[in-house]
Amino acid sequence: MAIHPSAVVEAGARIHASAEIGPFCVIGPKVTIGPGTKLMQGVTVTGRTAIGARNLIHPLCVIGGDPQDLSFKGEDTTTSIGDENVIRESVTINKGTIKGGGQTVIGNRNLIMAIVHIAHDCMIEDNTILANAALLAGHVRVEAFAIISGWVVVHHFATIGQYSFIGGASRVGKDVPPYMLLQGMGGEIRGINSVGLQRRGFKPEAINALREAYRILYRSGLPKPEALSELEKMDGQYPEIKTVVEFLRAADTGHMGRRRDVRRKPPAAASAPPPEPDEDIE
Amino acid sequence: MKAHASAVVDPGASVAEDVEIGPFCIVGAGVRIGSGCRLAAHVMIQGSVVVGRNNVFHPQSKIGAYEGGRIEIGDANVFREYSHVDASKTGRETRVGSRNRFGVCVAVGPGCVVGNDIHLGGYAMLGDGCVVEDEARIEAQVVIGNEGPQRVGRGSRVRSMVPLTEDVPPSRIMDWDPATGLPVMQEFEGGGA
Repeated sequence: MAIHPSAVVEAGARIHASAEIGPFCVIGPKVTIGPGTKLMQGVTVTGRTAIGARNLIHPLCVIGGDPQDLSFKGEDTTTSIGDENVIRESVTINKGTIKGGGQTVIGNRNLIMAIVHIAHDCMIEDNTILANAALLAGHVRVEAFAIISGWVVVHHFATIGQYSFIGGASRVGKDVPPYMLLQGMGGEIRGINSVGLQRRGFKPEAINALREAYRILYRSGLPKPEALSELEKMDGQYPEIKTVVEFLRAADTGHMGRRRDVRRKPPAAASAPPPEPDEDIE
Repeated sequence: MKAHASAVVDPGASVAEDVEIGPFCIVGAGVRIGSGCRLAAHVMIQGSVVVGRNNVFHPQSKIGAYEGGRIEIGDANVFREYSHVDASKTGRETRVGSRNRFGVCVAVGPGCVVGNDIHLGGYAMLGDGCVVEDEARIEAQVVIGNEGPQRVGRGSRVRSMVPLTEDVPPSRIMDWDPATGLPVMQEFEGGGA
């Protein structure tokens, strides 16, 4: 185990023999760090945080910090990070809140670039890319292979579908369907992520079918329920279309087109005091 | 004062008895810190800075009056990671009220006056001499006062990423109009912080 003499590792932290801890790191007592993971200098890991194997964490990151949420009263919630992620400089990852399920989860093989903020109860699947200064508010889910560009702000409870692409400096206010491309302050869907899909080995026929699905959904002028039933006629051939239809139907079950919004606590009874203000502006 | 062995606390600093100072923090001469404050790891407070009670400074936050000037901070504020407050060498002192929440990487520029019960979202920036009145909510990535001091009125709300082209009077909401691509200001009937 290579722990630099200037690092502070509190009693109780479990660090694998092959992990490396750089100078001036601070590791809290409930932290677990797996084999081959390397922390460069000045990284702070606090809370009940488990970091898997072969991650590379660059200088000055703060992982497992308290959630920025008014409901948080010091509960012992968790953060877990999978394997082979690259986390660049000054990234902040907050632990979960009780109302949101109590855990923030990062999967495997993600690239999280500098000063990204991942708030409480977020769920990042595998192989995603978050570019510099992307900001995920609480309870956000990012599905596999999604790419989020720089300076993107994602509203709390939003879901970013698999293989989707969010253009730079966009504002994401509701769920982004899989395979689509979003760009702009209004969060408009502008097309499909055709380059990403080609790179990931999707067949040209499937890409064309998705392009047609995009046209029906966003360019045909059909009301959404009719557009979705049009798509259902296509989905026997292409599982990707089925995924899009299921995703959009699920998004409609939540508030404002955000399926995870149902995780919000139910409205208080009339006699109860008014609910705490939303504190997910991050 | 409960300071970690690796923290550097200048003998000229006046720190209350129950303040917790984490590893690798730096507290300079002339700093006053009230009771109940907590400094996590790598926090830096230097220069002529007065900090009230029960403030929480998360790792890597920085309150600095290195080159002169003065900063005054009230009670029960939360400064998240990498947030920083700067002092003006020549102008008025930087003042922060009480019970404010500063998100990650928030910058409070020299000579700013920040009231009470304000929320600033991640990466929000206040330029030199800006004024933010009580109970305002400024969401993520809002840049205020880039081209001279601006004011955000009491209880107003600025939605994420919206550029401020003018001062925001009290009880307004600034948002982005998708039709014109320009910021728009509307009456705001509460529901904020």
